[in-house]
Amino acid sequence: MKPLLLLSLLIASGEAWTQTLEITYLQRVSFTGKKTNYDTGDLKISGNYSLYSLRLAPKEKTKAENADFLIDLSGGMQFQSLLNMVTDERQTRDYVFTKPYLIKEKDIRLAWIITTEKKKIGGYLATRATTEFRGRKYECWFTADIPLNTGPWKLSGLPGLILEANDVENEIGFQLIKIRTHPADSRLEINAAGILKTITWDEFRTLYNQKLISLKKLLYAKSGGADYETIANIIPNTIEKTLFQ
Amino acid sequence: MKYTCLICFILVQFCAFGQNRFIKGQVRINNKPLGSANVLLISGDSTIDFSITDSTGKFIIRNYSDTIHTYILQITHISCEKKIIELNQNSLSGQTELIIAMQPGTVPLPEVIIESAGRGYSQKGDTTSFAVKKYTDGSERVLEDILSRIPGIKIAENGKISFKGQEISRVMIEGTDLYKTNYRIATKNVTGRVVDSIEAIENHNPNPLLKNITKGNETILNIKLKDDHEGKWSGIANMAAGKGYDNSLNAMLFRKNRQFVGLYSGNTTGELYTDLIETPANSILSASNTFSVPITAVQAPDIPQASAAKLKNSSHIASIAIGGKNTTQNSFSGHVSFIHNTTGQVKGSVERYIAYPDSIFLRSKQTFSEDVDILSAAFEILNKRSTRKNIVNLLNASFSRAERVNAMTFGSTGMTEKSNEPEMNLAHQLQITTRYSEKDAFIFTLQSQYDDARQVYNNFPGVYYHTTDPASLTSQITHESSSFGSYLSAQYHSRKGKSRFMVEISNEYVASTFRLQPAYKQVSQQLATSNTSRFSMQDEFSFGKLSFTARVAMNVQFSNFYPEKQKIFPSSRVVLKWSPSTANVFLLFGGTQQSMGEVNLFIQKPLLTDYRTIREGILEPEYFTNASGGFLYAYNDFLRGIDITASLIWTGNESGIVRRYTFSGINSRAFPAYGPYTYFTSTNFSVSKYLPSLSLFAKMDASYHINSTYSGIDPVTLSRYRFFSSRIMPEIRSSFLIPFNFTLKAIWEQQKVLVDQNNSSLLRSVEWKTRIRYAFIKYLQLFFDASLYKLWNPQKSFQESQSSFFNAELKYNNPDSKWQIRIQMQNITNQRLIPNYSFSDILMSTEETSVLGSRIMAGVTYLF
Repeated sequence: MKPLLLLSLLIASGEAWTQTLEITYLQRVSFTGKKTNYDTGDLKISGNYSLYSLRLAPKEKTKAENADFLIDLSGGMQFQSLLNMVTDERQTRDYVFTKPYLIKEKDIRLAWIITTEKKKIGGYLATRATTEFRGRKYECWFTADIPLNTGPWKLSGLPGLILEANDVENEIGFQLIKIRTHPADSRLEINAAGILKTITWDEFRTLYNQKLISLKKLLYAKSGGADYETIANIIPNTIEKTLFQ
Repeated sequence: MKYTCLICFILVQFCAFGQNRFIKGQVRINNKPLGSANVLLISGDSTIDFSITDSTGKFIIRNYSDTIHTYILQITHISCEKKIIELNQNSLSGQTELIIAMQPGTVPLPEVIIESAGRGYSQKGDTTSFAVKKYTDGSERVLEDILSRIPGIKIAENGKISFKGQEISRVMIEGTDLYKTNYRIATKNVTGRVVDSIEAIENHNPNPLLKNITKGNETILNIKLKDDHEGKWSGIANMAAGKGYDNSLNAMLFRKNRQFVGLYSGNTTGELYTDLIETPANSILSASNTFSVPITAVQAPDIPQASAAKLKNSSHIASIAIGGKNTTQNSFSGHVSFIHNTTGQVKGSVERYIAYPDSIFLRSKQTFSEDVDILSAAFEILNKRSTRKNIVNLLNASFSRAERVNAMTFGSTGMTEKSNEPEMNLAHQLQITTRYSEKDAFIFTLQSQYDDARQVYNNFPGVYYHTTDPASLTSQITHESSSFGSYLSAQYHSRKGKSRFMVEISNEYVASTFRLQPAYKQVSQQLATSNTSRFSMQDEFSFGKLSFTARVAMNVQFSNFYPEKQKIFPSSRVVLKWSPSTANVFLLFGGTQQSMGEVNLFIQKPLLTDYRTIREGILEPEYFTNASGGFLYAYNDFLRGIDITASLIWTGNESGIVRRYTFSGINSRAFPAYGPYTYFTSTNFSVSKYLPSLSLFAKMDASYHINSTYSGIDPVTLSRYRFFSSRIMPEIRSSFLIPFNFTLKAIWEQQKVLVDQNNSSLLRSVEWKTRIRYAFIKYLQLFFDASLYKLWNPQKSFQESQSSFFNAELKYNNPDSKWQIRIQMQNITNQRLIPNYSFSDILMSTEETSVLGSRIMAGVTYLF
């Protein structure tokens, strides 16, 4: 019964608003010293729900496809985040290294500061707003012309759709590529949501840090006498900096 | 009582501010609560606060002020019509409660596709990384086509690439340097569809031991390939025929341990391949210390020519590049190329055979760098069949070793040319770098060079002064020179925080012997030596993207060869550079001041004399002062395609002979002499603007020289000595020189998609692409000369060149298919016109016209 309930929740019916919308963003991640990754993220909106799905660049998929004996248990390492715009509940498919989990979060309204700066993005008049979320300061451009309180990744809660977002360290960026009003596939569904273990954000953090410590110990054991302090101080690059305890 | 009143007053104020001011309410539709509606409180253009309704349709807004008299409450929802409620002081009671009913409706949502979404580039330190897919449309064939679309990268007509105004030194593919300085072989031929991203690395330092201490001055490009092309053959096969041909075949295979690129290209389109080879520099000594024989006085004038003859037009290149690791420690890379060219030749051909192998032996990784041996070489043979005798052999070899904190590089460059004007050049360099700590390094450099050359000058139609023999007017002069030079320098580099400090001591010595042999067998030989010592200091402060560099130097120069004599002069330079990710802004100030005072005794034997020997002695105490200063402003915004340079350089010379004593034979005379005084100012301004379809480049250089001379003896002195000789003449001379250069280049490019079958993603299209280029260059020089004997001798000369290029392509481009079909129409005209005349009725003109012609070709391209 529980999986059925979950599925019925995840496949949103869109009672309040029957039209569907698909917004495509270019997601840029460029951590210091690392190669810049450009991927595409699709934000589908239907009813009171929005679903952000990260499409990894084709080269990543090709690698997996080229491997003859690779059995992909991770669902393609796909990050997805479903938001109920009315209740502010968010469910995210994310990974503790390679293992996927479904993370449930409530009341994650961000404290936005709306400025008077404006610019046009794709013909829409956008206003600049800033916030701080999990260790990073973001500046976003939203348009009140599309009155939807959502945006790329986990950025939401503005009185209009977020068209562009960047963190002030210029490591993370989201930029509008296109807006389609009648996408071919309007279902909002988190991949394999029924079989994923559901956890809270705090549980996800705990699991992540436990796994990180065990990986560091493995690295130390294999390094053949490296300085443990050096290995212990390694902090992986992640969008959410407060992931580490 | 007074204090009680004050406290009460403050409490009243707190109470007033502490009031719970809010606007709250419920948004409903069809009498049902509406969740996820946006409620914005707006004043003017500013959003004061906002709220989003919850599942019960309720909202609350707190942050508003009663100093603003009118607010607008805007309620929006994706499935409702927008509602606006005006609120004023009367309706805002401090605790306002509203029930807002919305009407169903639709919000117009136009579909949007942003072509240039994403910045497409990112910057980390000195590396700017460009995602190729953001700048290309799939119609690009070779690497150069892709590079030309990257902002900030400019490709000159000879194929040389610059990034943010600085010429790049090499192009690497996946970190492997296959082509060294001959990168244009790769950029003009290697297929472009395998490129994933391009990294432009500025301030690259080829010496790894200096990393994080000094900034290098090289800019390099690194081409990153798409991962799915790893281990697969890819390339391009292109065939085009019609009136002429343009064929090419390129195949490349990149694996982690092996890289291979093979290519062949041949064309009759006028594109040259001989210029793709960048010959290593074989001169290590500074230009100021090399001597040339003073035969500039016999400059031959241009001889009028008829229109140019019909030129040949075919060019071919074949090249193989290999890189790889034979073990985990050792690697190799390099290329072998052969070029055959007749384009531009009246007869015969030019061949180049080149090989650039490199071997790297990595032993281990160390603190500051890798413990590594590198063995590099370059061989080149140039064969000009047009004259058959001209053969140039070029050899460059170097060995470098880096061990822990020490690095050593030894290199030799040699060149010999066998012809009727043979030339030989040998240069060696030894450089040792020692890194004391993370912050300090010491560099010792020793260079030596030997040159030997012979030049033959035939049939002078001019007059050589000091020559009274009419036979010399049509004689042949042979000039032979050999020189030896050495350069020694010691540098100390240090970095502390934001400051980079450098101190250098250097010494350069050059000794040259040259002989002039006229046809009538008299030999003139001279020995010239020069020694220059320099002490310089430089400090650079970097504050993020802003850097400030100050450099001062003291130069001491001794020479026995006129006009270089003993000179001691300081020089200084200050550079302010602001370098954000999209632009470069320079401010440069510099100056030098030289002064000299000495007594010289010349026993001068003229270089060319007739059979009578003229011996002349001059004793002259003289002084010389030179000062110059400059200002340079450069602004380069590569994203917007703006490039502005402006400079102002002022130079002043003042020299005088206090009193000159001359003696020739039994006579000796003494007379005062003055001047000359020269003031020279030049200004330069250039601006270029690149638009998507139209590129405009305009450049103007203008300068003026004012040269005033008073020499000889003054009239009073003349009256006393007039009986001595009629050869002593006072001279007053003033001249003005105004060169003016104007360059205009315009490129119009239009690309039109005629059929677009799939608008949503990749384009299957028929494209019409036109490219029209027009270049016009004009140099005008005005020269006015007034002297005691020639009162007014104005001259003007100008030369100009213009070229036009028309290219139209009709191309069928289908990214789903590997075939491209194109029809190309081309018309190229190059015209160079050099009329050259003076007002004294001597009119000489040279006209060269080279029309490469019109052609229509049809071709297919296969990408694999």
